[in-house]
Amino acid sequence: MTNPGSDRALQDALIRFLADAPFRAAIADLSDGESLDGVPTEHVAILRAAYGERVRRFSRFLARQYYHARLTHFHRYSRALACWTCRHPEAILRSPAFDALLPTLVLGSREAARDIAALLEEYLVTSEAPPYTAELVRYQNAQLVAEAGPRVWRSDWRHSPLDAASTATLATHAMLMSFEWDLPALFPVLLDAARAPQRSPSPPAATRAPLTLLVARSPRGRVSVLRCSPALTRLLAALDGKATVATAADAAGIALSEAVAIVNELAEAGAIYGPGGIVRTT
Amino acid sequence: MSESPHHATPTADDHLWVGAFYNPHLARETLDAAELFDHLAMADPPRADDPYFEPTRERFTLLLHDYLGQLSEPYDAHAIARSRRLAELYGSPWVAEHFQCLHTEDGRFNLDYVFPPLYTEAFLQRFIANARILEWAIERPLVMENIPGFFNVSASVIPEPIFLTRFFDATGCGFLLDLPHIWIEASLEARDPAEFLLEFPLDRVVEIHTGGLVDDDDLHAPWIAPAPPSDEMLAFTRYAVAQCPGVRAVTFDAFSPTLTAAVLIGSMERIRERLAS
Repeated sequence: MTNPGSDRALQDALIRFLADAPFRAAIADLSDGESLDGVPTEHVAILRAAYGERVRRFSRFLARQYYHARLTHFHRYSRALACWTCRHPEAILRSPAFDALLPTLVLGSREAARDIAALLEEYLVTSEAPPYTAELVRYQNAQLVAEAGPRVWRSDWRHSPLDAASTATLATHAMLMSFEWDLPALFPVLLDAARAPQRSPSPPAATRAPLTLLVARSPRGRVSVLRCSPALTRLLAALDGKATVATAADAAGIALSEAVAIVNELAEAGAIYGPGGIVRTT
Repeated sequence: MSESPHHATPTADDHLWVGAFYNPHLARETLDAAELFDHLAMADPPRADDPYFEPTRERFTLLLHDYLGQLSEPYDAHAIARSRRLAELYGSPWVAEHFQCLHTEDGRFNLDYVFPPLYTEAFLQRFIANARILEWAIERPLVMENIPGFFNVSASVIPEPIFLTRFFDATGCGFLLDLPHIWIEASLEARDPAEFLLEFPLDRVVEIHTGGLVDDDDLHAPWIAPAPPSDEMLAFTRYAVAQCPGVRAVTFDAFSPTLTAAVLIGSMERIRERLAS
């Protein structure tokens, strides 16, 4: 009988085998008795024995499913716009360009998300599309990229509480983005127009209104988008990893108690890191 | 201890419920054809801006069928609190989970798609222990859905029907029998689905999923899709219902933004017609 830890470790290796194309290729190239990246020889042997046409097919299937789910969620506004442009975001998943990514694709990695974002930009931003399309795609791609990367699956990992003396900095997953079009106002109009029984011959227009948005991802992988006031933008700019929250609050013109509350909410959303990062609380 | 799902009776009558998944983009059409649906399974929490969720909640029995976690590890406090909150919001008579293990323990790799655990003694004991804790914590009956594999792994040494039987015997949980999943596995092994079905613990079945299958271009094999069930699948569903003495509900398993109202309503009419005949 195998021990429980061994079975769980083998399941992890199997999951990686399906999710990580370079790892899969490296395992296939190993000889008997070799191990790779912490996967013991007996598990390597089991993975190599399982490797075959069905694993290759299932991996391709999973890759398309994985990004189909994300495009359906993050690119729903481009999907609505496709009622007029006939360019559905999911179409890129059946393109030769996506197939070309498959040999190096690692599901959920930031590199894969960036590669797919580039394909989406190239396919969706055309001269026939409405003038706000480039920003719309940039907004959605930012969420796709922000969501990627390892995550914690347990809720007992929390950020260290921040106070007036804490330092903090924008998280690596977070992005502060400027836009020329009022996208948040466009979104509900676009969805309603796409669903309307008598669809307008042209897509809805957007209004120009510069705004700054913060795209963040919590440690558990939840993406959130916050509209930034000028004061919040100044606060974020001041949080450079050296200045204290008190100094940054002063620079932003925000009351200290309010700034402490804001930075803790931002840390909870994964937008900023304190010096302690996230820690296990139990 | 929670009530057995066999005895969870949210309505006075004892007829077999026929329902579907709640697809928010088809909520209006679902409400317009409310007589076709006894229940709706909820795969996602309702969006705050969904104008149809409240009327839907008032009109139908809702079943919690979200991704809650994977029972290869114990649920943490956050996952349990979320499960309880959703179950209470829906008034769900039972809560569904899956025989799946789809992300690594360290969170680095995630398939984000149903994927079965290795069928081993160690995984069986993990699932039994964690299911007991979950059912106790959410104070509602737990039903567990079978998940198909697409390829064989030599370390998976317990036949799936035996793994499931031993799990249900040890926990008393209900069985959410997914017929397209059974069909896929039988097809991959070139077996008769009806014969394969009989190997599973059908006396534990509380809910049945039926649905459409299409040939997938990557798999070169039939796979689950938001499509109408074929005549053969409908006949299989009718056969399965007859084999499951405790079944309470049959659910059309299609949850996708690409599902159309015509497919949803047409499938519900055909399922009802086939089960009534």
